[in-house]
Amino acid sequence: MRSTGELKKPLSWTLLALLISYLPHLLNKPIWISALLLLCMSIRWWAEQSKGPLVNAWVRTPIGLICFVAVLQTYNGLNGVAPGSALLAVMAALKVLETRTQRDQFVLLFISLFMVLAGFLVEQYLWSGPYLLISVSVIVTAWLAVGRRGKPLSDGWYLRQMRRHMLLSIPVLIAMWVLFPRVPGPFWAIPTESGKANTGLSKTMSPGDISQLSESDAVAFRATFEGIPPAKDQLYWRAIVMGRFDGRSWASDDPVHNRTRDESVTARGQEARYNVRMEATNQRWLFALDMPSDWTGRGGLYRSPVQTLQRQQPVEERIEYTVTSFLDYRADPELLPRKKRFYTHLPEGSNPRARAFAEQLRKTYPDQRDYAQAVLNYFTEQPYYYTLSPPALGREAVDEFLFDTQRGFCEHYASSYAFLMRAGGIPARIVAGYQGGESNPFADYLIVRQSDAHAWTEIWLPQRGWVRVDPTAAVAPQRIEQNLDSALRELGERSDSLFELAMLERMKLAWDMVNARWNEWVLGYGPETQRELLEKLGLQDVGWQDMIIMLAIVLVGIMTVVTGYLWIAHQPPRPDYYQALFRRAQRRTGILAHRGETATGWAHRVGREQPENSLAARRFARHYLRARYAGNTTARRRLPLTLFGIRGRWRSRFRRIAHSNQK
Amino acid sequence: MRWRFPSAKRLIERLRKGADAKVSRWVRKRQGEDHLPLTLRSKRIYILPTSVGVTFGIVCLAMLLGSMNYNNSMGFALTFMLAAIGLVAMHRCHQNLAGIRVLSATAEPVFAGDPVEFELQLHNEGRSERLDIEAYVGQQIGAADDIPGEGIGRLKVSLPTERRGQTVVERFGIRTRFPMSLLNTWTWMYTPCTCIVWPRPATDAPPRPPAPARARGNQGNQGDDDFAGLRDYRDGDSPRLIAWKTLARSDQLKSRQLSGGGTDTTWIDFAVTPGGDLEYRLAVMARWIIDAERAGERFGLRLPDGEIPPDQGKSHRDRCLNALALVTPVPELRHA
Repeated sequence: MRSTGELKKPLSWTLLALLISYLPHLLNKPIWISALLLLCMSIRWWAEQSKGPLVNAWVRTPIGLICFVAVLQTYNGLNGVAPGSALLAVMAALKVLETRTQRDQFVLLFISLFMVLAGFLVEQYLWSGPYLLISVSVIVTAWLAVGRRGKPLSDGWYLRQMRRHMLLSIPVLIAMWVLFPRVPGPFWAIPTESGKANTGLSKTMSPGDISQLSESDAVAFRATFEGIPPAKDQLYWRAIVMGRFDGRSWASDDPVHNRTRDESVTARGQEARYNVRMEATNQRWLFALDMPSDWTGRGGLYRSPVQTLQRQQPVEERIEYTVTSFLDYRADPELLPRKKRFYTHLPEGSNPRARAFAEQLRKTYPDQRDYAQAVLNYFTEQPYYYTLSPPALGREAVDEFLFDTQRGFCEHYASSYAFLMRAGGIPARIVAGYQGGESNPFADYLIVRQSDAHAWTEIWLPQRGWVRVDPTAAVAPQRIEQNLDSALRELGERSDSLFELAMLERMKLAWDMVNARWNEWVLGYGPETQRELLEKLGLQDVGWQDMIIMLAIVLVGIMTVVTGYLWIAHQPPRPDYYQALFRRAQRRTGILAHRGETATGWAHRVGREQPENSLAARRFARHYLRARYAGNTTARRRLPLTLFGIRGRWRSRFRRIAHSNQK
Repeated sequence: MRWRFPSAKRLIERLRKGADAKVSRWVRKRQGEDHLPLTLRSKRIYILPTSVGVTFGIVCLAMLLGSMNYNNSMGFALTFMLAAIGLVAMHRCHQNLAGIRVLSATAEPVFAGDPVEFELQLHNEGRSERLDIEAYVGQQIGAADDIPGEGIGRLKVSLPTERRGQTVVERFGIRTRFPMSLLNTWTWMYTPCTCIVWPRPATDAPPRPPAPARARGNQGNQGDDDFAGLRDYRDGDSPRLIAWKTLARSDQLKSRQLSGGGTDTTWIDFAVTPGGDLEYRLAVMARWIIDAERAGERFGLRLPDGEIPPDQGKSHRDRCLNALALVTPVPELRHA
């Protein structure tokens, strides 16, 4: 079977549509699938161009079977988006080879649509919006080209028809977007995509963990406060509490939690209420200011016994929740002896030098508060140095850091401080989370990035409960007052480069705002956002039935307008339609055509009398002649628009007066 | 031999035909008799999704379910966009046909066995053009064509013929699938249109019997193109024969009568044709008529149910062939 070469135009568009819909998959599919698809597309395209032979079914069928088995092997089954889209790509590749009829091409276009959807299921970004628009535009253009039953038309024609179709569709799209009832939750289990790389905090902390994070500019979450946000040195976002220490690393999985009830938190003063929009972490912890007291959000939020906010379902997508926190609080004024033991436990024989130092200092300061303050002072007085690239530490990490290297990052300080506290008999634990955040001047929210990751210490004092102590603040107060970047710059760790210019910084923040808005109103548009939006539009308490009814009414309205527009375009023009336009042109210029004068003659006269209208009048006359006498469709469409090119009498006169005044 | 599923195709075909007949009766009752010219108003325009359109709808639904399940916003956007595109396509498809004025439906006579080509003349009164309009009769679909704004379009649909007689189209369809082949908008017009099918000239016809009635011709045999007098103009006379000078003088249309070989009068008589089969005898007569006209002869036609007086020219030939086609019993081929 040979290609006839008749499909050249529609096939080119179909292949382009397929290519664009495959683009997002290009990098995360096995290379052989991409290669197969591109190869098949090239072969088919070439066959059409040269009227060459098509690939025989005896060749295609075995290739198809082999590919199917290969996909099964690669993904260990067909469950999930990745193997599904891989299979789609293979199907598309083989379908391309046998494409001969209009029907075949429609099948390819359907596959393209599914591939676009699969791309969104894998990942959604800011560019997903423009990508959706472009890919659907190309697919619709291909659809028009394939659906054409008369003789093929030019590419420009298909593109114009596509543009018209899309413009008419957009109001419907917006209405459906706003009013189509969104229901929460999946209907059937979604196979989770494991192996997605996540930057962020982890359940354990060894020296060097957080300094790695500080290199990442990725957004951890965004927070919007009701009212004035608290001062920067109050912004301690708790996420993980680590109480188990093995001499080198801290870990959070302390079994004590499961047996005790929630430790009580009472307010002592100020509270802050804020909304958090958090990026996916695949973990259960959430971020809340020190200390969360009240919260609302989906997915089963609760406060753990160590006063962190957690979620029963892991955070596998962007989520949103609202929290109220006490900035000044009293947590756990009573500590059970068992817990006291747990929080003062140190492994036998680890870090002997630090232990000896603590015992000696404790003798000097018998009061717990004095002792805690003394250790903090020790960090300030001794030549400790805050750096992102500290020397590597061995087994006795605390000893080496405290007495040998004296250079470290927040986790070194927090870890050593907690160790010294425990050695002095004070219950202590490490809290990992984020500190600070950058407020966006373009919108009223705070951006907290991975580079804001931080670790600090909490110590327990009798009657007072858990108290936050940040030893890093003692060494490098800039870190807390500003952010990591400027702190490091001040300490000479980072130099100002061209990229850190204020202008660029502002652009980055503006971009982040666009991103945040996109996330909020498009990617995160769900049941809550929908309700919020409808409330803003003045519709309180709308159920899904009401939404369907409203959507139906709005759609009927829009389609009436669309039909009216189409109907008008198909009406015969008034008998004096063209003359009326000519009369309007004459009125606009103020120069009337003589009896029997042609439009061209009139335009020339206008050119002589009003040079500023010369071009426009001639343009009008040209379109007028073509539209009225030559039946030119394009000229007909453009004729009313050419009128606007002619400067009105009053405007012209005004300009002339203004011009003469200037002289 | 290729194995085929027994009779499923035939069953579907039969069901389709039954449904079609039922729908046709209902539409007929609803629309009544149609008279050209007529304007295609919404009342007579029907619209249904094509198989591609049905698939499109199913795909949209599947995508909606997928988007809801994965709670995927861009998935929703894609789904809604497709739904919007489909909705707009529906209205564009309908508007593409509505308001067209059908001026006429005609067909030129053909010889049996040749396809007859019906031509519908459509007037687009609106400013924008109508795209991909097709005419059809039953399962026979003509080529798609565009009708420019404020212009005339001619849609053709060919039907096969087998025997002489008449081909009657009881119902024309006009349809369009523009813009995306998702929907089929169509209209039916019950405007009976007849096309005469001439008998196919016999290839093995015996030679024409010589003209026995040379005496009947009163004119002297003085050679070609000699002027023999004036007579009233009759349809089909060649413009070369019109006496223009007389016309200029007296405002009467006269034709010059020539004396010469061409004016010999022969009779093509049913009675002298060989064989017993009616159709064969008519085919032989058709052959003789064509030969006589080609030779430029003057001839008359005698049929069992009447005769056509002698004359010459193409239109006379056509008149004679029409008479042959309509010899009773007239075979009729009806298309709906």
